[in-house]
Amino acid sequence: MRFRAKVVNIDCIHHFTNVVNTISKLLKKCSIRLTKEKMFFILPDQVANGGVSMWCELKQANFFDEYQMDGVNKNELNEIYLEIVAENLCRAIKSANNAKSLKIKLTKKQVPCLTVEIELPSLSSTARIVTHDIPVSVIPSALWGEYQEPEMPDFHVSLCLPPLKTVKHIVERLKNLSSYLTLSGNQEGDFALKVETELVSATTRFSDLEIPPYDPDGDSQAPSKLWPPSEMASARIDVKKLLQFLAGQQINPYKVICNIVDQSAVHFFLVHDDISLQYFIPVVAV
Amino acid sequence: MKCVLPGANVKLFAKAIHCLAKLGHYVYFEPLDTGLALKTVNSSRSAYVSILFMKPMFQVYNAGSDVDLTVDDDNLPISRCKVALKTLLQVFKSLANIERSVETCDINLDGDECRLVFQLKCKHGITKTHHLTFQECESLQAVFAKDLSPNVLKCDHKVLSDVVINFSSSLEEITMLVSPCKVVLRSYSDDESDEIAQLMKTEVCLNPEEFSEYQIGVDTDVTFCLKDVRAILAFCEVAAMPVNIHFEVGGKPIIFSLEHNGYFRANFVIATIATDKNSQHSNATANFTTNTTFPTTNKRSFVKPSRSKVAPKPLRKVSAQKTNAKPQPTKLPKPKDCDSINSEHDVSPEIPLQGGEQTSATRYEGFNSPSPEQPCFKSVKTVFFAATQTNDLDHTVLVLAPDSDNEDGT
Repeated sequence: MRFRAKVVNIDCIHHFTNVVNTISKLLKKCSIRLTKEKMFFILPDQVANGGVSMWCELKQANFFDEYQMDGVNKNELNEIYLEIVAENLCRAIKSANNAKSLKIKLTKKQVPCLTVEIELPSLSSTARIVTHDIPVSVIPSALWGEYQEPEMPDFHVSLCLPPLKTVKHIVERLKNLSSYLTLSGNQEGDFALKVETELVSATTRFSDLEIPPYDPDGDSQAPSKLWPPSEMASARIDVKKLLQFLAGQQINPYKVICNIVDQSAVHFFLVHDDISLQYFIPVVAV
Repeated sequence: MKCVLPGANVKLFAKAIHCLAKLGHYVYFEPLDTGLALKTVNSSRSAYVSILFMKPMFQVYNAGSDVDLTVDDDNLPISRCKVALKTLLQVFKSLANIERSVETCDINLDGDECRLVFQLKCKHGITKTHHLTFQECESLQAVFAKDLSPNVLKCDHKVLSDVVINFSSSLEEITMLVSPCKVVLRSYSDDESDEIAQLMKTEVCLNPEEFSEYQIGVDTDVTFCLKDVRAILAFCEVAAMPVNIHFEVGGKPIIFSLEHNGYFRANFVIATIATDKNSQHSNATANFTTNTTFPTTNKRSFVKPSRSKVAPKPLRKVSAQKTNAKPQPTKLPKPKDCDSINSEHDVSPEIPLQGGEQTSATRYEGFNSPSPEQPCFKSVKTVFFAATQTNDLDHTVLVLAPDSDNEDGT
């Protein structure tokens, strides 16, 4: 198993830093899947996380100038799965704020490590080198089945959210009222965030939101086709999880698509040139 | 003592107080003929700071030696005093405010009311007066020989700040390895257990060209407390002077100093961890154990190892640096009440302080004659205590109580 990648362009370094920062805000421990074409950050759906799951993939060619990966074996298992503490990676990459180059490689020190080597500009002729060794654990191929790309859920409603900053502001205020928030939307572009307690109920509504085009392969039985357009599909979720997702955003996606499965789950899909990030929040039982 | 600091220097003074507050509990004010010295030492005596503001920095400076109005109960002139840093920090709390509005700062030792008075005259006719209680004290002076250090590095504080920022903020200690061709700073963990292997390790490599002065007499590695260094670097940012680093080997203190000839001098003496290959044993233990006049205001007194009260806390014996041959890698529980153990030890990680009575004190010079056959152990994390001189390397540590007048029932 071998992995080494190098980024030289400072913009790519910043971009990569943003991705890592966003991921580290969402989860503590993260799984990294490396293939020839792509790099994935995965958090599989587990009870321990409260049922949230995340899937982020990026095309390595858009970030790395050099990328060499040799997986477990050359044939079907030509991939590497690692588990890492996201915060460590975030901290390591933080050093690369104005780096000349960034190298990441898989090494074995006392334990398998992801070594991040950063070349910083310095006053002297030779650059300053900062090396971070982040301990990782290699996930055996037997468990790779748990890390598959989640299927697009059978959502009832799908809309593009208003600017995340606005939504974040609102959710921050609503968080003070209750720990659960109901997200609802309909196929006509209406979207609402509602918090309800014994004493008060507060709702913020948006309308005329864009509906992303999605044709579930002409399946006329798809839940979204059967759902009455003006009916609001809603899901009651934990406000902290939603806030975690909104607050950590540094990627600046074109759009954020929110898919609501009535009374079941909320699925956020961030669309960006080089990256796609999906985040699932399940409903909280009433 | 009466002195007046002009506005421009009050910020530096305030920042000095902030730095001292991060390290110790009390600041010792010592008005000398050359200027006003502020000193502190931390509770584990592994960090000592002495900042001297010389006469030219003051508008008015009167050390109080001739016209002395401040006397204590026995009608003796009070020349030195110490103030709790927590209280003093309240006076100089907001640096931004101080920079913006303070025009002068008067420091007065008022003998009648037994108060140290700080009067900040600010813009718009506002005057803030603070009366602080003080305690009389003896001179606090660490014994160290900066000029005899074989290794001297001098660089801009920015270089160090930029390097230190790469390390995790929770990291306690850092190791600096020097050789004629490079300097490597590495995160330090003193435990080889699995848990520690899970921590991220960071290493930064610097070229000697980054230093304005680079003199390496002895290739070595020293390990010291990073938290203290961060406090020092925060101060350097305001002082805006290059930093000099003097050190020798593990076990001897590392000294960071700033100097502006004739105006200002600051020395930060930080203890380093003694390693196997450097068995440093000085007889300077006597230096502070017999210092009965040393103020023991801190309940957990430096000098009081009262065996009767405190059970001997075994020190942690940890295997030495990875590069060296290891002695016994047995680990002992961390002492809880660390300060009280401090008496007759190998003083290497601690900073010997000069006191009133010194008996057979060997001054802690740059070069000590190591006494043979004495095991040297790595000390506990930020509480740098050396092991005792037991030849039988068992788990208990003999800490012998010195003679001390303050002892009750010993």
